[in-house]
Amino acid sequence: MSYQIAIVDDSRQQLQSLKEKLNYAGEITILFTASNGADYLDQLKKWDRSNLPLVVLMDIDMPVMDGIEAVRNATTIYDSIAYIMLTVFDDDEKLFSAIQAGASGYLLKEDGIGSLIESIKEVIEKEGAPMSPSIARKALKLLTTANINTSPIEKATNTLSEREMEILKGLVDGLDFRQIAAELFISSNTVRKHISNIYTKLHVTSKVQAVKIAMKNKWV
Amino acid sequence: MPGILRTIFILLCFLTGAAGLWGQDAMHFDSYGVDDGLLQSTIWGIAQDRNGFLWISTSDGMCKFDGYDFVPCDNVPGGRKSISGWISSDSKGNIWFKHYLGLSKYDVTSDTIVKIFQYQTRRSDDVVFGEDSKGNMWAGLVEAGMLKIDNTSNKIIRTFPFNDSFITPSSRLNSGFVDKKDRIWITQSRKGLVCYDIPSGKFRKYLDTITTLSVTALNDSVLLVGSTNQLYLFNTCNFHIFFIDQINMPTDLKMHEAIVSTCKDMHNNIWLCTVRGVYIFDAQKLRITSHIASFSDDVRNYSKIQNAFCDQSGNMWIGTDGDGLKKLPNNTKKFHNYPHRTEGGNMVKAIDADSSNVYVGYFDNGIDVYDRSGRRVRHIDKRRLPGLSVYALSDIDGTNKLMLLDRERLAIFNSKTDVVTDLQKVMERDIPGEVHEKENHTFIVRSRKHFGYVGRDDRLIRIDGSSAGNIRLTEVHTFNNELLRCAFISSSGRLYVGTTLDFYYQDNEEGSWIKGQLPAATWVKNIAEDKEGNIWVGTIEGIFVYGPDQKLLQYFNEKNQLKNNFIYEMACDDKGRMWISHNKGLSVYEPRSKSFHHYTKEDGLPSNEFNTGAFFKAADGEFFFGGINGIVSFYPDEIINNPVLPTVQITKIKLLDEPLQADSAFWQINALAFPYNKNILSFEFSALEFTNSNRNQYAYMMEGIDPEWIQSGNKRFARYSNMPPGHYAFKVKASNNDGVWSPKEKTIYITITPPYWQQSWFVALYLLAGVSLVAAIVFLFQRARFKKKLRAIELQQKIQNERERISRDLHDSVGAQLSLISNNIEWIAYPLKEFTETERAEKLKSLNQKSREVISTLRESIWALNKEAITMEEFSDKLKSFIQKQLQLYTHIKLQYKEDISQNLVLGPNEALNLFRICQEGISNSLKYSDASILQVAITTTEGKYRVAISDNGKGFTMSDRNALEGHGLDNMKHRAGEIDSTLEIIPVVGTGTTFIISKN
Repeated sequence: MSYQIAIVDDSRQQLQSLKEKLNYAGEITILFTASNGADYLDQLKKWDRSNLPLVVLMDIDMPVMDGIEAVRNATTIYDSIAYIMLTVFDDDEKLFSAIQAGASGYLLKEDGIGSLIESIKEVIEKEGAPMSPSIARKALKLLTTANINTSPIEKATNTLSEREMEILKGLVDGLDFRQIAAELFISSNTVRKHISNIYTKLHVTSKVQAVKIAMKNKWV
Repeated sequence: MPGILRTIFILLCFLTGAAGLWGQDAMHFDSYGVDDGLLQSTIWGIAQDRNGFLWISTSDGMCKFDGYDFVPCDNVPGGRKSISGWISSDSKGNIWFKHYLGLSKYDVTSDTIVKIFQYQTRRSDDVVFGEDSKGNMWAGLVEAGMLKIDNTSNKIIRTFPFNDSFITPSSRLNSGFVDKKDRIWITQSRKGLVCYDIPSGKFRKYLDTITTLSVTALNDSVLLVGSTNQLYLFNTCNFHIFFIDQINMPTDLKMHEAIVSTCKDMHNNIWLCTVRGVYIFDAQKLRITSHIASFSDDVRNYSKIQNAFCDQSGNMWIGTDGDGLKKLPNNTKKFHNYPHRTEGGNMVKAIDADSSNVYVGYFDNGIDVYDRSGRRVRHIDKRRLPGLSVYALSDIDGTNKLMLLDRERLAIFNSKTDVVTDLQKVMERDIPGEVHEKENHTFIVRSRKHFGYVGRDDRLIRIDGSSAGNIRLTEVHTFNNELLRCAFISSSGRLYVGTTLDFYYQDNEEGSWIKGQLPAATWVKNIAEDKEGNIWVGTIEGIFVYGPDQKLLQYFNEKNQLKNNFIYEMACDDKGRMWISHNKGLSVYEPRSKSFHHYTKEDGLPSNEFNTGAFFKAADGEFFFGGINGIVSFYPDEIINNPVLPTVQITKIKLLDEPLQADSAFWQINALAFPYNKNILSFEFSALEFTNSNRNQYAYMMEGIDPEWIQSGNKRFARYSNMPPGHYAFKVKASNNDGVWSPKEKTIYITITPPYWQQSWFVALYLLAGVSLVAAIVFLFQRARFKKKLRAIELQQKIQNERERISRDLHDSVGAQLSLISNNIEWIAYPLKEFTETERAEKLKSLNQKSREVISTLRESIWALNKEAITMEEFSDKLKSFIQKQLQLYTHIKLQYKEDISQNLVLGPNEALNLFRICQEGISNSLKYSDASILQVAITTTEGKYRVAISDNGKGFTMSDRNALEGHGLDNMKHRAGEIDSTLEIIPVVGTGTTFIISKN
């Protein structure tokens, strides 16, 4: 079965290269491409709700609207689309912001086509790409900080469970999820599930913070 | 406060014996006693130093008098109470005195007391003789002998006992002095007069038969020798002796007590101080002319006089035994008071005089007739007069005088026969009408053509006649109900009349009467004319002076130079001075200085209150004024103000109202300096002129504070408080009792030093500090800016260095990799030999991998480049990512990662990159060559240092292995470690594993 995706990148060469690679593989169908975040959102409106791409490969540094902003805006309207950030350099800060904005993982642009497809599949099926130790550390920090201002509801939704904490710690320690699973005596699938939950929580904190900011500024 | 003056009138006792002259002047003595501050009332000696202070030695010590206070002298040898006698001054103004411990001298220049000769005696008869012509002082001390003292060095030149001198230790020295021929004349208890001739050193004796008590020089060659009852003149040239006069001494007295001492006054008269008062021997008349027997109110008690002293102003000071100190001021004003009767009144109302007699008419006490020398000749009883009081006397023809009495009675008085002829009938005949006013008239004014004019109510009556026996009265003018008070005929013949409201004048007998037009209607008492022809109109409210053209020139009153507004009589003397009598004494106006001088009882007047009409100017210029206590007469030229110019001295200085502690006497201080907080100064000063200290006037100023002199009257005190810092000069000057000012001022320069924070050096320092502070701030500021710039440049430099290092790293790592790839591609593109497909495929795969690695390497370099600083956390994460990636290729190897970086260090990009490369190399080596199954990585941070340990459980290696294969790799690691200031430890254990440890130094 073919996964429907979209690609957003301001470099035509990159788009071309990716398109070729993915088309050739056969498992992926590229619905459309966009050259920046605003372009992407515009194009998205033309598509029927039932026919949206499952995953979007989003470049980060783009003019008009960058990738992070695009992800943030898009996820509020279309919550069925998952995003994989494409980056040349793994700038952890930006990537973490992207994740908070709603991205589910990231890929280096020069990665091989194999890992590209692999990642797409993971994001679609497992709902979350593996976290690098750095991202894991950031997630840990963010989700364990006890906010004085958080309401009990927020606490329940935002903070980590014990298991999730253990998994994040393992990721911080540099273990891959197979090693983590082995250590925690759970299946690697369970680990994957936990990771995807963590991603959700990161998305929520991002949303919560956005709402907070909006409320503070009386936009709502 | 100045001593309280008590003036005592002394009755003169008259000398029995021949040729006594009746003194006619009352003597005013001022008395000073213990109540005035005098230490004790027995005076042993009086002297005056050059500064003007009076030294008085009493039985209770020595004290100094400044005109107001007696200040005890405490620094006398032997203590204050050791004064035993003689005290005198020398020609330089020093004071010599004898005390229980010997002879001392007060040196006036240095204000110190010098001990001249020390010997102890209880005898009081030692004498300081005086100075010889060479300036040496001579003294006779009976127990010690004669002393000759050098007055400059204060050293005793010689002493010699009185062996050959006719003076024995049992003798008493009475007196002695050095004469102008350097002979010392000595009287002692034995008979005779001893003479010591200084040049020859020989003693001689004269007058063996006479008991000599005192000897003094009458002139250069004649001595006045006093014996118990007689006075002798002794001629020192021919040694003849004359008896000259007698003094009355009780015979039961001890010899030496008769004449105690002598003193010369200003007129060269010799004052003999005896147990029975003072005898004054007149040097011109060569006999005793006065005897002051007693200073007390009880005339019958004689005063015991110890000594007399004439001060620099001519005042005579008398020291008594038990009655204190007396002073006879040198009165230069010869006011003669006529002795008046004690019975009845002394209210003089009329005076007339001729060449031989003075006629004084009294209120209710008849007429006294005196001769011109002041002796009363006779008295005409009031009952012989047709009235009780005589209001005016005016001479007609030298014998007969017109007399105006009370109740408007006119009479003729014959001065030869004393017959009084009443003229009442003539008055009734010629001037009809009743007298209306109650107030009596007081004038008869003489005129040249007629006998005179008299007033009756508001009518002016002229008196004519052919002789005293034939009087005719004519009414001349009526002044319209203005009562006549006085009349005057000027030198131009104009007749002036003064009334109760104004004055009038008539130029000649036919002329009209012109009103004088006084500015305010007032009672005219007297009219007079001065030498310039101005008319002086004296009223009860002062004097109006009119010029010849009737213009008002002056108005003198109490606000304008007059002592009293109530004018009685005025008269101008021959020198043009206008004399005025009033209720507060006599005044005289001096036209040259345009100033008044005022005289009172203190100057010798019989009273301060005078009377209307009681004035007469004799033909020889003698003035007679009458008051409530008899008349006073004087020749105006003999009224001289005290000519002595006082020398003012500062007698006390107080700082902060406490006496100033100073090294020298206050009057010797010229300059003082005080700090800013001791700035309250007060001064006391004295004119040291004793004629009448209370009338001395003072003026002072503090230059720098006062703009001009402050007239202080007779207050001798000035105080200045809160003087600000600066330079000042305090000046004071004084006048004597007659207002004669001395031009000599006393000046003390005062400096108040400002507090250190106001002083110039401090202000300068302060400013300097301020300036240097500003300079310092500017300097620091500049330096900071400079440093900042330097740091910026350094930073730039650092960045540059970093960049260089990173570019080197890129070159080393990426460059090396790329060249390897390029080589490989070349090898494939241009093979040197044939490859199989598999070989080619392998090579291409490998190339693919390698090119991927290049991207990684580049990415790592850029990761370092992009950040200013990299935390250990970030570094650790990076290392983990790298390892994870590698482990994808070596799936059988497990990673054990330990991280203990609670102390989060921060590394610079270059350090982070190098460290990363070292770890990379180490890890790669382990993964590739060690055949290990576990890779352990441990990163720790402690105390600001990191430690990275990479170990595997592989086979290890030996150094030789390594050298052969990968020597460069290890060298590179070591080099990088050195670059980042770390130590690299390589611990290969063959068979167990290899450990790399990188730790920061």
